[in-house]
Amino acid sequence: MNTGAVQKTARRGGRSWLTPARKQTMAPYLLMAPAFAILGGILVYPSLYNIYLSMWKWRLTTPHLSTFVGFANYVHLLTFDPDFWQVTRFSLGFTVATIALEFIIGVASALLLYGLVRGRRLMTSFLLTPYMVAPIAVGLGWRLMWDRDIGIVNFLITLVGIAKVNWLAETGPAFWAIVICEVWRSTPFVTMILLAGITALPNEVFEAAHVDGANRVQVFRRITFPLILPPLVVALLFQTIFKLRVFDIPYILTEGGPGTSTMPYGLYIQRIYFRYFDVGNAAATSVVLLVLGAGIAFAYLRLIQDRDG
Amino acid sequence: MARGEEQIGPGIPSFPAARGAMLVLLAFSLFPIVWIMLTSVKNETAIFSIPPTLFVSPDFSSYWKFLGFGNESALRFIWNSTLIAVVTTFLTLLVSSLAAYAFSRYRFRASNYLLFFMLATRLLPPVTAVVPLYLLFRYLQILDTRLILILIYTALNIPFGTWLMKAFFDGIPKELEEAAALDGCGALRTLAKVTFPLASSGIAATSIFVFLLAWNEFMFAFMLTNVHARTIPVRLAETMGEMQVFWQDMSTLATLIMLPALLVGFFMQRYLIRALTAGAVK
Repeated sequence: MNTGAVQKTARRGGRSWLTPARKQTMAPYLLMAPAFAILGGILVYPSLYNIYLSMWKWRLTTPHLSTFVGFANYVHLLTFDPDFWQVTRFSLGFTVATIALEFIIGVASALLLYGLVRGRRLMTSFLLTPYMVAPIAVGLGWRLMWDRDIGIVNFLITLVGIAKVNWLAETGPAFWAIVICEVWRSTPFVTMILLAGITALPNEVFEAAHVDGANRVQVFRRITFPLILPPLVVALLFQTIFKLRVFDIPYILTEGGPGTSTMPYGLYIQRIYFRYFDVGNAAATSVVLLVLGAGIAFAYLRLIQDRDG
Repeated sequence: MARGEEQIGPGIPSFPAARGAMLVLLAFSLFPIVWIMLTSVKNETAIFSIPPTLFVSPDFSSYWKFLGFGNESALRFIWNSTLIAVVTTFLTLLVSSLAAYAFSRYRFRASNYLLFFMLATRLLPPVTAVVPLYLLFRYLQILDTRLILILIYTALNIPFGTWLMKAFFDGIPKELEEAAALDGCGALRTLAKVTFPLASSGIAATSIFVFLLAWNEFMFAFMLTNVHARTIPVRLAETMGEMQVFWQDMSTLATLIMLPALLVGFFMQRYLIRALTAGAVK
């Protein structure tokens, strides 16, 4: 650009540069700028920087000794770290178990709610309560209920003659205690999505099926289920991603114990970072979680596309 | 068939077994919450009694302790939580409705990509940001402040808030805005006087959703605050770490955490359900 043009623009000043047409093109970007600035600065940039951090051997206590190690932290995690595999096993098992149970209970509750002629609204709001309150608070309630000596669960099972179980201190029971608590807490989300999906279905289809003499099970299998599948898959996608991130409930119920048998990724990252001050390994673990979540998301999206196309 | 119309449709009709199932579901959903509240007004003896007691003469001592001004007052944490949740709600609402308005009203080449990018950030596990954010905030010396929690919660809520508000703006006819413009309303005045009031149910839905998430959040508050900005969920978790388990105190704190959410959720449930289902049913 020659100097004359620059001077000319400068002399004319900002006002005439901002023509109404330009103003129109700029407007959406300006409106979006604050949102993207906060999102970028607080979530996206740190997550990317995290990938870079994962390639360093760096302890918070001895920052002067930090060295670039490439993928060594990942090699360590995947080959030498038994805790990492335990954490992965727990997270995947937890995800599969909770999602399976939530969908069975969710579908049943949605159909029950839809079938209610009176009081559907009141009932919906009662069933939604577990999802609204803080996980940390209800987790505490469940901890009280699972307690070996004073818990109501043990009291009830001893009534029917089963021996007391030390729910939160034994590997198997602790896993199920956490699963049940999480299923209790987040099934309402699935129920609401399904209920909204079912409510949106055109009634003519069901009338036609009724006329043709289809029974309830057939109606569900051939009509309702296929029609609510798209919202179901979206709900599944989000639920899966949220399950991998679980933190509050294992923390308040077992703190990841006994040992590391009920430790989710989030708690493991917290421990590596705040207890061992190991920046590199904490970062590497969260990158693994990121990749795992993204992989599952893509798998789901492919599933949706395949069905549509 | 005698029952007629209610038999048609996808739902399970309310025959006795279904009613029974509904009751079981209701009890399962509400019992843990009721149990926490009940425990918060039981004294030690009542808590440790076997069989568990259902009816007790209520003992509110730990409420007085936490809501009073004494040594163990929890008012500071409640204040932190309230301030953080309220400011987060306002900030998220402001920032995401501006963005949502742009996505809804302007069609330009990058808009689809930007929207996709924004929604894709929901796939990032928030915990991924903890380590870098800790280092950044330590460098800036703003660890343990309410500001960082407000910024984090806002960032976490922007994608969903924008998506939700966009859906509501999409439902407002553009003609109304054009009419206001013809009558001499400026762009900002149109937004304030025409568009926002029409989107008020969307604003309500988004606010409730954001408020509850910010009020309930534990992980970031736990990792990034220490003394000054501690929220009430963190206060509860700390009681857990002590050697002796004080069930009454903990249940009281848990009840205090749950109450605002229960009130907001119960009275504005219609909006909450809209917010929850808007993402999936499209």
